[in-house]
Amino acid sequence: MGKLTRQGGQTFMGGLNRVFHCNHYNAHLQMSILMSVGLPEHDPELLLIEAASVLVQRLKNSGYSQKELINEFSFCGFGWLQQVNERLWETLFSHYGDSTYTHGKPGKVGYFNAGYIQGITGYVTEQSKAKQLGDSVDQYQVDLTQVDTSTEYLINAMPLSPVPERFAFEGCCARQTAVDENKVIEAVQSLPLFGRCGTHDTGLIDAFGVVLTHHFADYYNRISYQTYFAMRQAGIPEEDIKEIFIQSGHICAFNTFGGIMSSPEWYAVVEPQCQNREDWLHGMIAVINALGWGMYRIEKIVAEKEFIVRIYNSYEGVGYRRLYPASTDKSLSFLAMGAMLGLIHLLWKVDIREKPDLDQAFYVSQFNNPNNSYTVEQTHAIAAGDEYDRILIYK
Amino acid sequence: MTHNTLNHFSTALLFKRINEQRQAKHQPLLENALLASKLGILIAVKTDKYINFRAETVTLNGRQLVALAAILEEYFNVNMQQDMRELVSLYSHEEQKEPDISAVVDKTAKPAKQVVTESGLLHRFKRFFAKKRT
Repeated sequence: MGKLTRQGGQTFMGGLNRVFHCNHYNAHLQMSILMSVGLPEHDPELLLIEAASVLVQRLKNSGYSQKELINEFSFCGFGWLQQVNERLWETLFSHYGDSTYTHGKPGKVGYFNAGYIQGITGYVTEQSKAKQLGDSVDQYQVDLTQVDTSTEYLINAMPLSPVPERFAFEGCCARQTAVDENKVIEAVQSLPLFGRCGTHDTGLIDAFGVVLTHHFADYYNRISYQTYFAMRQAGIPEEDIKEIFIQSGHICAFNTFGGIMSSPEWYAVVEPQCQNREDWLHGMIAVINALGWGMYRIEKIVAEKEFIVRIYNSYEGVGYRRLYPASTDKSLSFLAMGAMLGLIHLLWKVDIREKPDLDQAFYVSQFNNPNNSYTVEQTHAIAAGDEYDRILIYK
Repeated sequence: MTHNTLNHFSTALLFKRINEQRQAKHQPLLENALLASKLGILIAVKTDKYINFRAETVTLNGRQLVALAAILEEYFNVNMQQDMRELVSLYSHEEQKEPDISAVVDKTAKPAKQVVTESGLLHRFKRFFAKKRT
């Protein structure tokens, strides 16, 4: 299995950058991708499978054994994977099969798992049984047709930049805080946020009231941007497409950041360093800087009015450049926009410090109500050649 | 109902009925802004015609209405055929009581130019995109 290394806010394993994301984000993102079923020259189901397959094949080509790939499936929280015979695999537990969901009719959701197996075997793989359809197990059938290897999509080098120290960059007007970022990052990185694959284990990562994965950043970027481009090509307004991807980030923030800021770990490590709501923001940004999403730096806080965050080496920005030439569009970091808006909403709309019950009914009641809501914009983008992503949240 | 008949109905009522059905089935409620964006995209994918569900009302022909019912069943797990007839009928009844042609939205209009009453993220993004275009 690959060794974990860190650079510039990114976390690498087997040479690929990994990011923590929750079951809510994975569910909403997959639902968004699958909305494009029916668009010409675009097959989102195949996209979801091949995006994973290519990355696993890369790991295999870099020297991973089959056993190491199966162990890493569990380590990253994808579940408990086993080969039944030459043509059949199953997941007794899996993140996608057991922890994600769909708002529509129940159906197969194990595209990522099928892609992972396809990457291991080198043969075309499809899900054949699904717990969500009443089967006792999720099963995957391996067709002995070799995978098309022309689908490699990581075509450029990753443009990582140096990261300035907190509050030590030109244009920064955020005030100092007592929150010790290094201490928070160290605490998060010491948590057992990995799955296990022993006899009594599930290979899932239950933490902070959500189920986490330590996922491939390139997987998210590939499926999101390919779908975005296909929808744009079909004439669907940019605003609607961006909205659904940003919403996935917003829901992710609500559940995962909300869960973190309600957790015993938060109250043990971060909360004691906080004197006000601004400190809570600094504390949560420090936590984010341990998730592999890039390095977040607060540029400005005008409480209840305006917040600006820069992201150096954002996984969406550097990931976009790894996949495509520079864009002219400066608002392509959908997750970052949704997550930052969600974080400000958790602090200045909901006030997470009062420990509300963060369920779906509460979410809908809050966000169907425009009172005390904020707007988000992205003004700078690594995807468009800027040094950093810059997210502005304001009323 | 023929495919050429135009059917108008309130999006707010549509979203309310969707959530009532989901609640009755013990399924999570969905935010209006999310429903509006998803329905706009899905109807475009399935019918090749974009319709803005963020407007106060939408106007669909018979074919689009059938497509919408299928989308709601497939993607939101609700059977809305009866509800949509009621919504169309309710809207027509309200129109007869108090005619207001401004409430009927041009289905080809650009989203940011339309009247939006939904709240949530979408409303706020709309301001951003409207600003960006100018």
